[in-house]
Amino acid sequence: MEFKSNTTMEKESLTSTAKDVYHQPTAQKFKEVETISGAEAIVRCLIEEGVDVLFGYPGGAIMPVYDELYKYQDQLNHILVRHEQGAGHAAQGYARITRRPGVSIVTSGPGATNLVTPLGDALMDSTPIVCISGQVPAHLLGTDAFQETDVIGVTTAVTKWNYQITKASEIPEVFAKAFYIANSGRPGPVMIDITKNAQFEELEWKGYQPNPVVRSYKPKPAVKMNRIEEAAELLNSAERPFMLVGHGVLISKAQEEVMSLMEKAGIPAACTLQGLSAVPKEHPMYMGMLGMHGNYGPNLLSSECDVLLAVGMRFDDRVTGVASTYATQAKVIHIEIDPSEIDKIIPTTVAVNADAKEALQALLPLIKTNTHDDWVARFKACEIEEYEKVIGPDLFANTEGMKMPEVIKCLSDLTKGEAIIVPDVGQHQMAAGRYYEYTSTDGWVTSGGLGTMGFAMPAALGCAFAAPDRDVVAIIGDGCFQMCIQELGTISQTKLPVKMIILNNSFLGMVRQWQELFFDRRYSFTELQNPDFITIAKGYGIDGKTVKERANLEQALQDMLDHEGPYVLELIVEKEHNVFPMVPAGCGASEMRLE
Amino acid sequence: MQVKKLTISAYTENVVGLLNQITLVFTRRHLNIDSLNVSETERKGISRFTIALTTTEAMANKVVQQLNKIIEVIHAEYHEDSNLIYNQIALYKVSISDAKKVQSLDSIVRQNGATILSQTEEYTVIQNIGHRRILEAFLTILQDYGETEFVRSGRVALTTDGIRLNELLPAEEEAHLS
Repeated sequence: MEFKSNTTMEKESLTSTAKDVYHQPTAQKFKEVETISGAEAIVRCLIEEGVDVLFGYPGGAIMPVYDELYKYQDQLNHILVRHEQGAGHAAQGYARITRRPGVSIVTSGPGATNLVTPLGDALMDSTPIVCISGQVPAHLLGTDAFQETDVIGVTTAVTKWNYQITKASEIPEVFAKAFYIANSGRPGPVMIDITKNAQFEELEWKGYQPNPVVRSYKPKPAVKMNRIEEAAELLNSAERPFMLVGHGVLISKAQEEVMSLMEKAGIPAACTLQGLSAVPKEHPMYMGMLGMHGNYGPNLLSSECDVLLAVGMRFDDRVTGVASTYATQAKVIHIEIDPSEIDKIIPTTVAVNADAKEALQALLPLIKTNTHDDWVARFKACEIEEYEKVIGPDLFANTEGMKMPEVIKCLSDLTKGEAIIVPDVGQHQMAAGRYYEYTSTDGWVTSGGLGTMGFAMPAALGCAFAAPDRDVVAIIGDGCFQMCIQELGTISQTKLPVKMIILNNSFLGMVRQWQELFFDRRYSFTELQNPDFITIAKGYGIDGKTVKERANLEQALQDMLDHEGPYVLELIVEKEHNVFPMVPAGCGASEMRLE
Repeated sequence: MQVKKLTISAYTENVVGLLNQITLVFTRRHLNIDSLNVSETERKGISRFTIALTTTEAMANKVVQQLNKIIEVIHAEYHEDSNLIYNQIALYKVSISDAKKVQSLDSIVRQNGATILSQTEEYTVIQNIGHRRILEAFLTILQDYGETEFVRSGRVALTTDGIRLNELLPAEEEAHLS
């Protein structure tokens, strides 16, 4: 089983992204005290932080910085997006693969407000991004000047931290703080708003100190051994333990520890949507995906486990269904770095407020080798039932049109489960989550918490910068494709081999499914008259093809993967196919329906 | 779960925009604040928020967790009234010109432990300190004397068992850092 460790991957991607565009900053050059402009200081801060690519869009209030970017082109690769939302999502995609902050830079007013969605998305999905916006000169703040927006006011609710710089001298310290906050503890988005005068003003550059002490911020709580002992005791005496693996496992790079625990303690485990690819799909103790459209066993048996171990996850309502009925019979161990997530939704028996990797490393030696064959067999039985009723018919369809699941399975086979899959939001996302068979970790980047349609295309571009050695395949619905369609231009200009599959059912599929099931098939404004996507792609200089017949699917996917550079493959799929199983709204997770 | 009067006490950095971040935690959960007071503490650059609200302990706990999540919040916790020493200040401007009435007003003020801050021919401004109920009861009394303008501060409170600033940020360490 080839399951690349994160560290090797990180090294690979670092060296390969850096090779053409990035030289390590020459520390000596920066050491002497020099007088430079605020704009130049900003660019130097980025270089000092090891930023090699940034996604942005220029405008009046950020022009001094853009002038410096022109000067530093050999060290910083600026990618011109077509809309600031794309800049934010691209930075997110980059961050999710490198686990380092992605950076976007925009102008004031509309430039900054267009970043609100990516900021909100990154906050929900714990993604480290640092966004920089220009602002009107300090003396015009609050005067309704041209392209002035109260960026701090607007972004406070969607950032982990934000700050308005009005003096050039603040720049080095604030940038160091921004990068540190974005990527420590539970990662998240940071917004820095910089008035234009601060970009023009001069400051004395005395070098750069990353990771400053922020006395009010303690991102990494120490592991409390008494809690670990309590957790071990519960797990060692459990008869029907069940582990929930969340995004936190990927963030803290605890995949190996999670698998060791699954194997040693004989604990079946399931991943949340954002935890996907933390455990390879063929691992014998891996039981599938949690959530409204996850796998049957992990949902059904949540009401039968006696000890529930949740690692780096936050009991999203898509996981729990009605929270008051979720796993009420179980003793709950919650390992989570963000203390505000503990007891927020599900009351815990043992709370371990710590980094997932550190907590699991402390826990593992206390765990007795054990098996729970009868309990694991229950999951396997659910899997068989789900296979008969859903998976089999999904994969070996006799319908005229193709179904999304068979596309994903075919892609999975052709890429050997090693690609980075970047689904958008909706039915195709659920199909991708359910049917892609991961063999490599960090293979899944999607908008989970906010559910942002339009995320995939720009995020996939960010992933392509982060991992140029891997296949990056965006899986996009026909609705989503048109939400950030302009980024075809960005992708074309970078020439990076971003592969985009449109699963076209001419519907906003997930909403239509709900209308069919819960609103008496009243398809209120969910049917789309779509453009010729391939003509549009070709207009942007991107090659593509439309395929309708199942018989041509495999070849078309292979051609797409083999194509040098970006490619759009439009696949016409069944119009009214539903994603099952499903936990209906207002039900508990264990009330999941197979049909 | 039972709704009760709870007071959140938070030590924070004194930075622009923090008040907004703090109130957002309440707004987002549709919680109304009974009173809010912000002041500098014994340590320069560190503020103390005292927020009184009526809610369940479970909600107060979640709110406190969210407040602690704000980067510039050093520490937040909540208390019941039994663990607090607290007071509010109120000012009353009573429109009154009748000399007889003024005399009687003076004695009411003294009986209630209040203070006259300013007196003219048209009005008297009185200050009273105490718990909310006492301050409101005093207002009712004054209203019998004439039209009364009333303003009351937020609650200021010290805890009997809460964590002290020096435990959170030892002064020696601070000196070392700066």
